[in-house]
Amino acid sequence: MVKNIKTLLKADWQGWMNSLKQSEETRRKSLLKGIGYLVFIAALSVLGSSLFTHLRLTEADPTLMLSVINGFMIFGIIIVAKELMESSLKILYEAPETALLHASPIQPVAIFGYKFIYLSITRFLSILCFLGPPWVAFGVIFELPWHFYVGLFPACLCLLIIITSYITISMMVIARFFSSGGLLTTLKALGTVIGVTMGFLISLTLLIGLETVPVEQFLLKWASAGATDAAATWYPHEWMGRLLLSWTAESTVGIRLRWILGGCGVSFASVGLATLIAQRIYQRGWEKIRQLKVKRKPGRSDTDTTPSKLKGIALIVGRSKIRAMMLKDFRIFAGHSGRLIAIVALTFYLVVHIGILFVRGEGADTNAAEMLPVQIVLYSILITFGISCNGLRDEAKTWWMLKSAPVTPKLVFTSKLLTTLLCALVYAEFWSLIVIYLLRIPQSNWIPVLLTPIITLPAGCAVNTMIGTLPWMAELTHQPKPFLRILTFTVTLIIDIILIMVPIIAWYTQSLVLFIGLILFLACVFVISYRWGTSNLGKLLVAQH
Amino acid sequence: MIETSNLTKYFGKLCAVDALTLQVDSGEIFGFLGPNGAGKTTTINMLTGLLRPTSGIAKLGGYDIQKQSLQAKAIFGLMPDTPHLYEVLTGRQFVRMVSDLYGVPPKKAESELETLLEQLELIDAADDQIKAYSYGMQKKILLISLLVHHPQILFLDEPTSGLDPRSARTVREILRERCEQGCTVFMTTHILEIAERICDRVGIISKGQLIAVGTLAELQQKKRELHAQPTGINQNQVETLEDIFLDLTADA
Repeated sequence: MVKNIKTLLKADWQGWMNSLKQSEETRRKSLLKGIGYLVFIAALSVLGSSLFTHLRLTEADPTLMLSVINGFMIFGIIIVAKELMESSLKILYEAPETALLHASPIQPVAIFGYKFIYLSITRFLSILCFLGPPWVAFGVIFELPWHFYVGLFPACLCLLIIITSYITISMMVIARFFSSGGLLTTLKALGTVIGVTMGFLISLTLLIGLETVPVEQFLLKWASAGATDAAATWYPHEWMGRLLLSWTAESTVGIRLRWILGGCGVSFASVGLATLIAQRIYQRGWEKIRQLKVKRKPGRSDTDTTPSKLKGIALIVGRSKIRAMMLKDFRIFAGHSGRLIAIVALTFYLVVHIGILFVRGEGADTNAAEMLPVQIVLYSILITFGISCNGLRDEAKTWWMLKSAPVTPKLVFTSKLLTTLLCALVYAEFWSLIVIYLLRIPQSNWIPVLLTPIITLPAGCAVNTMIGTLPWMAELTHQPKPFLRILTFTVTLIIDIILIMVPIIAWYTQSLVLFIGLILFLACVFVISYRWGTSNLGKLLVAQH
Repeated sequence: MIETSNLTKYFGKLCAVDALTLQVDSGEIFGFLGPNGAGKTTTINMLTGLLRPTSGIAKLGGYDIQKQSLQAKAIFGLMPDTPHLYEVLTGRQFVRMVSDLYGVPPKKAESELETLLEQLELIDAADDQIKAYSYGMQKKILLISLLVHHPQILFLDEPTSGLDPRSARTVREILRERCEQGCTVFMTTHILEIAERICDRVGIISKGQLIAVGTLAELQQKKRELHAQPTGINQNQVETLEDIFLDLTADA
């Protein structure tokens, strides 16, 4: 069994090295991932330094200290657990090579063992990045000896093994006894929501330097509120916290040994339990998931040949090329679960914002309420990025069809633009109406609130759709250029914000000349974007050299 | 219907297709054969406007694929070897999208779609997303989407690979039927029996060069001429396309 695991791990290692040596894309991705980790390390270091400095200066109670540490641990563990949840589902059950492994004379438990080790190795860097920085900040501020930092590695490893065991056990139980398409989608969606929320929370740490935002006080207050939870001492992160805290001067070797043995013991026990469970249910669970993936809806009866729910709409707009293209664009967009979750997440923030203003009873005259239309239009643009900026990229594999079909660049561009515009307009106008109703915006302000999306979105959507046709964004003929993509996205976002802000400013200056000038400016932006976009598409739709 | 003149494609220094001059008539099933890497797919890509030739001309129904690409594209349908389709769409939605793109009247498209779904035994899966389809089913739905708009030319890269025997036979019958209605089929295949059975003429390409073209009888004749003084070959033996292919591409 060990030999098989070693062989499989070796093959993975060779594969990774090959792709690192030969694939520029892998190198780029690794570099980008590294930069992402660095951002997290910086943010957590800043937050950790700030909180621990405050605690040291105020000579805080040790229980509060432990709670702050636990807070950091929980944050890191949630992110790692989220990553593990997504990757364990993918690696244990969805990886295409798993079928080959199950068909080979390898025990299912050996396959599980290999995948468990693979998961642990690939997530070790994550746990170090998410848990390490606050601990390092803690060690620096409390001037702990060097072996404290050395102890961080095995402590993180033990914690990772425990979490991986818990997650894989949960996944195996779900796959074996409760697997359904809906549940799997929910798990994936949960992972994305946790990711988006954590990213949002970590971005708050960037505000910690600003005096006006009491993030630091808020976190300390939250930590002191949770300090009395007795049940928490049973959680693994609590043991790890206590183990690392035992490095402070007053701890004895006995105490340290107790926590070390505890950590190692639990790690071994959890791996043992996971292996035992894998032996019993892993293969059966994999078979169930596999069946789930190939299962299809029962066939329709011969008489039930009604086109679809969209038949009514089809009758209204007819069946033209543009409609076919728009439907296709919309269905591709709607079929992307990640983007739908992003829409839900953004809408959630919007609802929270509106809810806060509503509960506080703040009217339209407050700054926060005045900024809401801008926020709504910006969100409507952001949610349609999937059609405008990323629409062509999503069609890379099927691009041959459009290239060999009698479609013009104008048709392709117009279809994407109209789909984007319709989605954005519906979203923006719907929420604008909600805002008008809930916040009781006076009638004199209805026009700017409702008109802002109508004025700004055509130009904004045209710019974004044109950006999507740029060769390095469409990635139809060019190698991926992630840096350039991120840079382009950033610039696009800035342009969008400018386009949204301009009419608001013009409205409040109450200058007719400025307003007309603005309309002309937006019309020019629209025309230029349209022409540029169709010209770019013209180059992408012709035969390649 | 299909006309190429000195169609050439270089990839760097490698000549993938070398001065291909060919003519395929209306209503003809033309088999384009060759060993792996001979230039078959490159030729189809150039003929369908996916790849720009280094030199030479390709005309479809009299339209230059480079200069009058839109008119040319309106008259053909393409089935590549590895079909990448819109996986989020259902089979039915996909065919409707394609038929709309080619301007097929909805009523006609619907009745045609149902007939073809029945014929190719895909009716039960027509409302499933394409991502749930097997490779063979994906090929079938792509073929249906092509047939619905009644193209004048069909470019088929390995049309029967991945299909079960019954479906493969149905496809052959449909193709023959379409050819009788005037459609031209340009197909590649590695299954020489199929080529022998349904193709009116075949062309054999090797190392980018068209080394033989004609009906089976013409190719047999050509081979006999090549082996004017045969050694160990029975002159009375009826040679199959496989024998001819192996002989002509022996040095490939």
